[in-house]
Amino acid sequence: MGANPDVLIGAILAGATFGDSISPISDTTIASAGTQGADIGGVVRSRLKYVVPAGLLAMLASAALDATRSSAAGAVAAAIPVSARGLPMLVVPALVIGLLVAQRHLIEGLLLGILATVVLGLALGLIAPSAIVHVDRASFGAKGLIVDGMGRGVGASVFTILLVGLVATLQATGALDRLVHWATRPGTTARGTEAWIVAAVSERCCSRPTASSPCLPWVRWPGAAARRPASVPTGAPTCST
Amino acid sequence: MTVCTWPFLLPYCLPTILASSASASGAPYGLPRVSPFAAGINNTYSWALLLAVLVAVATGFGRREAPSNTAQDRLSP
Repeated sequence: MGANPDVLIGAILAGATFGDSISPISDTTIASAGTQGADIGGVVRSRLKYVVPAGLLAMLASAALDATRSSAAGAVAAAIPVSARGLPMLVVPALVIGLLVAQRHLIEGLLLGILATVVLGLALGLIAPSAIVHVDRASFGAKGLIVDGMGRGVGASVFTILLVGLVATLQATGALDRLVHWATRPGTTARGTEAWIVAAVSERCCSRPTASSPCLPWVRWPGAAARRPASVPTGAPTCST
Repeated sequence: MTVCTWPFLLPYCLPTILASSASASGAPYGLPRVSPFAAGINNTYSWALLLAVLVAVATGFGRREAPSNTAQDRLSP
Protein backbone atom coordinates (compact mmCIF):
# COMPACT_ATOMS: atom_id res chain seq x y z
CA MET A 1 0.00 0.00 0.00
CA GLY A 2 2.99 2.27 0.47
CA ALA A 3 1.73 3.73 3.73
CA ASN A 4 4.06 4.97 6.41
CA PRO A 5 4.27 2.14 9.02
CA ASP A 6 3.89 4.47 12.02
CA VAL A 7 0.84 6.16 10.54
CA LEU A 8 -0.60 2.83 9.38
CA ILE A 9 -0.35 1.20 12.83
CA GLY A 10 -1.72 4.40 14.37
CA ALA A 11 -4.67 4.32 11.97
CA ILE A 12 -5.35 0.65 12.74
CA LEU A 13 -5.26 1.41 16.46
CA ALA A 14 -7.53 4.40 15.84
CA GLY A 15 -10.06 2.15 14.12
CA ALA A 16 -9.93 -0.32 17.00
CA THR A 17 -10.42 2.52 19.48
CA PHE A 18 -13.38 3.82 17.50
CA GLY A 19 -15.00 0.39 17.66
CA ASP A 20 -14.24 0.09 21.35
CA SER A 21 -15.89 3.41 22.09
CA ILE A 22 -19.11 2.81 20.17
CA SER A 23 -19.69 -0.92 19.92
CA PRO A 24 -22.53 -2.28 22.08
CA ILE A 25 -20.40 -5.34 22.87
CA SER A 26 -17.25 -3.50 23.93
CA ASP A 27 -16.12 -3.63 27.55
CA THR A 28 -16.22 0.14 27.97
CA THR A 29 -19.82 0.37 26.73
CA ILE A 30 -20.99 -2.54 28.86
CA ALA A 31 -19.17 -1.23 31.94
CA SER A 32 -20.60 2.26 31.46
CA ALA A 33 -24.14 0.97 31.09
CA GLY A 34 -23.90 -1.69 33.79
CA THR A 35 -22.41 0.48 36.49
CA GLN A 36 -24.78 3.37 35.93
CA GLY A 37 -27.97 1.40 35.51
CA ALA A 38 -28.39 2.61 31.93
CA ASP A 39 -29.37 0.54 28.92
CA ILE A 40 -26.58 -0.29 26.48
CA GLY A 41 -28.49 1.11 23.50
CA GLY A 42 -28.92 4.41 25.29
CA VAL A 43 -25.22 4.62 26.07
CA VAL A 44 -24.35 3.96 22.42
CA ARG A 45 -26.84 6.57 21.21
CA SER A 46 -25.58 9.14 23.72
CA ARG A 47 -22.02 8.69 22.46
CA LEU A 48 -22.79 9.07 18.76
CA LYS A 49 -22.77 12.86 18.80
CA TYR A 50 -19.18 12.83 20.12
CA VAL A 51 -17.78 9.69 18.52
CA VAL A 52 -18.83 10.25 14.91
CA PRO A 53 -17.29 13.74 14.56
CA ALA A 54 -14.14 12.47 16.29
CA GLY A 55 -13.99 9.53 13.88
CA LEU A 56 -14.35 11.77 10.83
CA LEU A 57 -11.69 14.12 12.16
CA ALA A 58 -9.39 11.15 12.83
CA MET A 59 -9.82 9.86 9.26
CA LEU A 60 -8.83 13.22 7.84
CA ALA A 61 -5.93 13.55 10.26
CA SER A 62 -4.56 10.07 9.43
CA ALA A 63 -4.78 10.78 5.71
CA ALA A 64 -3.02 14.11 6.20
CA LEU A 65 -0.32 12.51 8.35
CA ASP A 66 0.40 9.86 5.75
CA ALA A 67 0.48 12.40 2.95
CA THR A 68 3.13 14.41 4.75
CA ARG A 69 5.45 11.49 5.56
CA SER A 70 7.49 9.65 2.99
CA SER A 71 8.76 6.22 3.94
CA ALA A 72 11.25 3.81 2.51
CA ALA A 73 9.57 1.04 4.50
CA GLY A 74 6.30 1.94 2.83
CA ALA A 75 7.91 1.47 -0.57
CA VAL A 76 9.12 -1.97 0.53
CA ALA A 77 5.61 -2.89 1.63
CA ALA A 78 4.22 -1.66 -1.68
CA ALA A 79 6.50 -4.10 -3.48
CA ILE A 80 5.20 -7.11 -1.52
CA PRO A 81 2.85 -9.19 -3.68
CA VAL A 82 -0.66 -9.26 -2.25
CA SER A 83 -3.55 -11.63 -2.81
CA ALA A 84 -7.22 -11.75 -1.95
CA ARG A 85 -7.00 -15.44 -1.08
CA GLY A 86 -6.78 -14.62 2.61
CA LEU A 87 -10.02 -12.64 2.76
CA PRO A 88 -12.19 -15.65 3.74
CA MET A 89 -10.17 -15.79 6.95
CA LEU A 90 -12.20 -12.77 8.13
CA VAL A 91 -14.86 -15.35 8.96
CA VAL A 92 -12.79 -16.36 12.00
CA PRO A 93 -12.95 -13.09 13.97
CA ALA A 94 -16.64 -12.88 13.05
CA LEU A 95 -17.06 -16.38 14.51
CA VAL A 96 -15.29 -15.44 17.74
CA ILE A 97 -17.35 -12.26 18.12
CA GLY A 98 -20.51 -14.26 17.44
CA LEU A 99 -19.59 -16.76 20.15
CA LEU A 100 -18.95 -13.97 22.64
CA VAL A 101 -22.23 -12.29 21.76
CA ALA A 102 -23.88 -15.67 22.39
CA GLN A 103 -22.29 -15.46 25.86
CA ARG A 104 -19.89 -18.33 25.34
CA HIS A 105 -16.76 -18.22 27.51
CA LEU A 106 -13.80 -16.21 26.20
CA ILE A 107 -11.44 -19.19 26.43
CA GLU A 108 -13.90 -21.32 24.48
CA GLY A 109 -14.27 -18.61 21.85
CA LEU A 110 -10.51 -18.20 21.42
CA LEU A 111 -9.84 -21.94 21.24
CA LEU A 112 -12.57 -22.38 18.65
CA GLY A 113 -11.12 -19.41 16.79
CA ILE A 114 -7.70 -21.09 16.61
CA LEU A 115 -9.30 -24.32 15.46
CA ALA A 116 -11.33 -22.53 12.79
CA THR A 117 -8.21 -20.69 11.61
CA VAL A 118 -6.29 -23.93 11.22
CA VAL A 119 -9.11 -25.72 9.41
CA LEU A 120 -9.86 -22.82 7.08
CA GLY A 121 -6.18 -22.08 6.45
CA LEU A 122 -5.51 -25.68 5.52
CA ALA A 123 -8.62 -25.91 3.35
CA LEU A 124 -7.66 -22.78 1.42
CA GLY A 125 -4.04 -23.86 1.13
CA LEU A 126 -2.83 -20.77 2.98
CA ILE A 127 -0.78 -22.70 5.54
CA ALA A 128 1.06 -26.00 5.39
CA PRO A 129 0.25 -28.70 7.99
CA SER A 130 3.85 -28.85 9.12
CA ALA A 131 3.90 -25.10 9.75
CA ILE A 132 1.17 -25.25 12.39
CA VAL A 133 3.10 -27.04 15.10
CA HIS A 134 5.93 -29.55 15.07
CA VAL A 135 8.77 -30.82 17.24
CA ASP A 136 12.13 -29.34 16.40
CA ARG A 137 14.65 -32.17 16.70
CA ALA A 138 17.61 -29.90 17.29
CA SER A 139 16.13 -28.13 20.32
CA PHE A 140 13.59 -30.87 21.14
CA GLY A 141 10.96 -28.19 21.55
CA ALA A 142 7.66 -27.28 19.99
CA LYS A 143 7.82 -24.95 17.00
CA GLY A 144 5.27 -23.57 14.58
CA LEU A 145 2.81 -20.81 13.95
CA ILE A 146 0.79 -21.25 17.14
CA VAL A 147 3.86 -21.43 19.37
CA ASP A 148 5.40 -18.41 17.64
CA GLY A 149 2.17 -16.47 18.06
CA MET A 150 1.99 -17.27 21.76
CA GLY A 151 5.64 -16.30 22.09
CA ARG A 152 4.90 -12.80 20.84
CA GLY A 153 2.50 -12.36 23.75
CA VAL A 154 4.97 -13.40 26.44
CA GLY A 155 6.64 -9.99 26.67
CA ALA A 156 3.34 -8.13 27.08
CA SER A 157 2.13 -10.72 29.61
CA VAL A 158 5.25 -10.43 31.78
CA PHE A 159 5.03 -6.65 31.51
CA THR A 160 1.41 -6.76 32.68
CA ILE A 161 2.20 -8.98 35.66
CA LEU A 162 5.03 -6.71 36.77
CA LEU A 163 2.89 -3.62 36.29
CA VAL A 164 0.09 -5.07 38.40
CA GLY A 165 2.67 -5.74 41.10
CA LEU A 166 3.79 -2.13 40.93
CA VAL A 167 0.21 -0.87 41.20
CA ALA A 168 -0.43 -3.18 44.17
CA THR A 169 2.60 -1.67 45.89
CA LEU A 170 1.28 1.82 45.28
CA GLN A 171 -2.11 0.82 46.65
CA ALA A 172 -0.51 -0.60 49.77
CA THR A 173 0.95 2.81 50.55
CA GLY A 174 -2.54 4.30 50.57
CA ALA A 175 -1.54 6.97 48.07
CA LEU A 176 -4.11 5.87 45.51
CA ASP A 177 -6.86 5.70 48.13
CA ARG A 178 -6.20 9.26 49.20
CA LEU A 179 -6.12 10.40 45.60
CA VAL A 180 -9.37 8.57 44.82
CA HIS A 181 -11.06 10.00 47.92
CA TRP A 182 -10.03 13.45 46.82
CA ALA A 183 -11.16 12.85 43.26
CA THR A 184 -14.61 11.52 44.17
CA ARG A 185 -15.80 14.52 46.12
CA PRO A 186 -19.16 15.69 44.80
CA GLY A 187 -19.42 18.52 42.35
CA THR A 188 -21.81 21.42 42.60
CA THR A 189 -22.48 21.99 38.91
CA ALA A 190 -22.90 19.71 35.91
CA ARG A 191 -19.77 21.11 34.26
CA GLY A 192 -17.76 20.78 37.44
CA THR A 193 -18.91 17.20 37.96
CA GLU A 194 -18.06 16.27 34.38
CA ALA A 195 -14.62 17.85 34.73
CA TRP A 196 -14.02 15.84 37.91
CA ILE A 197 -15.12 12.66 36.19
CA VAL A 198 -12.76 13.25 33.27
CA ALA A 199 -9.91 14.00 35.67
CA ALA A 200 -10.64 10.97 37.86
CA VAL A 201 -10.90 8.57 34.92
CA SER A 202 -7.74 10.03 33.42
CA GLU A 203 -5.93 9.47 36.70
CA ARG A 204 -7.14 5.86 36.82
CA CYS A 205 -6.12 5.27 33.22
CA CYS A 206 -2.64 6.65 33.78
CA SER A 207 -2.00 4.98 37.13
CA ARG A 208 -3.61 1.61 36.33
CA PRO A 209 -2.59 1.13 32.72
CA THR A 210 -3.46 -2.56 32.55
CA ALA A 211 -7.14 -1.87 32.98
CA SER A 212 -8.79 -1.75 29.61
CA SER A 213 -11.93 -0.12 30.93
CA PRO A 214 -11.22 1.82 34.09
CA CYS A 215 -14.25 3.59 35.44
CA LEU A 216 -14.76 5.68 38.48
CA PRO A 217 -13.11 3.99 41.45
CA TRP A 218 -16.22 2.96 43.35
CA VAL A 219 -17.44 0.80 40.50
CA ARG A 220 -14.18 -1.10 40.07
CA TRP A 221 -13.51 -2.44 43.51
CA PRO A 222 -15.16 -5.25 45.49
CA GLY A 223 -18.03 -3.88 47.51
CA ALA A 224 -18.34 -1.17 44.93
CA ALA A 225 -21.95 -0.33 45.63
CA ALA A 226 -21.24 0.36 49.26
CA ARG A 227 -18.39 2.70 48.40
CA ARG A 228 -20.30 4.76 45.90
CA PRO A 229 -20.87 8.23 47.38
CA ALA A 230 -24.56 8.75 48.04
CA SER A 231 -24.29 12.29 46.76
CA VAL A 232 -23.58 11.12 43.24
CA PRO A 233 -26.87 10.52 41.42
CA THR A 234 -27.35 7.36 39.42
CA GLY A 235 -28.16 9.35 36.32
CA ALA A 236 -25.16 11.65 36.57
CA PRO A 237 -22.64 11.40 33.76
CA THR A 238 -19.88 9.04 34.75
CA CYS A 239 -18.11 6.46 32.67
CA SER A 240 -19.74 7.41 29.41
CA THR A 241 -18.28 10.87 29.81
CA MET B 1 -15.45 8.09 26.74
CA THR B 2 -12.31 9.27 28.49
CA VAL B 3 -11.39 5.66 28.96
CA CYS B 4 -10.99 5.36 25.18
CA THR B 5 -8.29 8.01 25.12
CA TRP B 6 -5.34 7.61 27.51
CA PRO B 7 -4.92 3.79 27.40
CA PHE B 8 -4.74 4.04 23.60
CA LEU B 9 -2.24 6.91 23.66
CA LEU B 10 0.24 6.19 26.44
CA PRO B 11 3.18 3.97 25.44
CA TYR B 12 3.04 1.88 28.63
CA CYS B 13 -0.56 0.77 28.17
CA LEU B 14 -1.60 -2.56 26.71
CA PRO B 15 -3.34 -1.31 23.52
CA THR B 16 -0.23 0.52 22.30
CA ILE B 17 2.05 -2.33 23.35
CA LEU B 18 -0.12 -4.88 21.54
CA ALA B 19 -0.23 -2.67 18.43
CA SER B 20 3.56 -2.52 18.51
CA SER B 21 3.72 -6.28 18.96
CA ALA B 22 1.41 -6.78 15.98
CA SER B 23 3.70 -4.70 13.79
CA ALA B 24 6.50 -7.21 14.43
CA SER B 25 4.81 -9.56 11.96
CA GLY B 26 6.11 -7.34 9.15
CA ALA B 27 9.74 -8.20 9.96
CA PRO B 28 9.98 -11.00 7.34
CA TYR B 29 9.13 -8.40 4.70
CA GLY B 30 11.72 -5.91 5.89
CA LEU B 31 9.26 -3.64 7.66
CA PRO B 32 10.40 -1.96 10.87
CA ARG B 33 8.68 -2.62 14.18
CA VAL B 34 6.58 0.36 15.25
CA SER B 35 7.20 1.47 18.84
CA PRO B 36 4.33 1.77 21.34
CA PHE B 37 5.04 5.49 21.50
CA ALA B 38 4.68 5.86 17.72
CA ALA B 39 1.49 3.77 17.74
CA GLY B 40 -0.05 5.99 20.41
CA ILE B 41 1.09 9.32 18.99
CA ASN B 42 -0.39 8.35 15.58
CA ASN B 43 -3.70 7.17 17.04
CA THR B 44 -5.60 10.12 15.65
CA TYR B 45 -8.99 8.93 16.88
CA SER B 46 -8.06 8.98 20.56
CA TRP B 47 -6.63 12.47 20.20
CA ALA B 48 -9.81 13.60 18.44
CA LEU B 49 -11.99 11.95 21.09
CA LEU B 50 -9.99 13.58 23.86
CA LEU B 51 -10.58 16.92 22.16
CA ALA B 52 -14.30 16.12 21.85
CA VAL B 53 -14.53 15.27 25.56
CA LEU B 54 -12.79 18.47 26.62
CA VAL B 55 -14.94 20.58 24.29
CA ALA B 56 -18.11 18.84 25.55
CA VAL B 57 -17.20 19.49 29.18
CA ALA B 58 -16.28 23.10 28.50
CA THR B 59 -19.26 23.99 26.32
CA GLY B 60 -21.92 21.60 27.61
CA PHE B 61 -22.43 20.17 24.11
CA GLY B 62 -24.86 17.26 24.30
CA ARG B 63 -25.55 17.76 28.01
CA ARG B 64 -29.08 17.02 29.14
CA GLU B 65 -30.02 18.58 32.44
CA ALA B 66 -32.10 16.52 34.84
CA PRO B 67 -35.17 18.12 36.44
CA SER B 68 -33.98 20.80 38.82
CA ASN B 69 -35.54 19.30 41.92
CA THR B 70 -33.78 15.98 41.51
CA ALA B 71 -30.34 16.01 39.99
CA GLN B 72 -29.28 19.44 41.21
CA ASP B 73 -30.43 18.69 44.74
CA ARG B 74 -28.60 15.41 44.77
CA LEU B 75 -25.45 17.02 43.40
CA SER B 76 -25.39 19.48 46.27
CA PRO B 77 -23.29 18.45 49.27
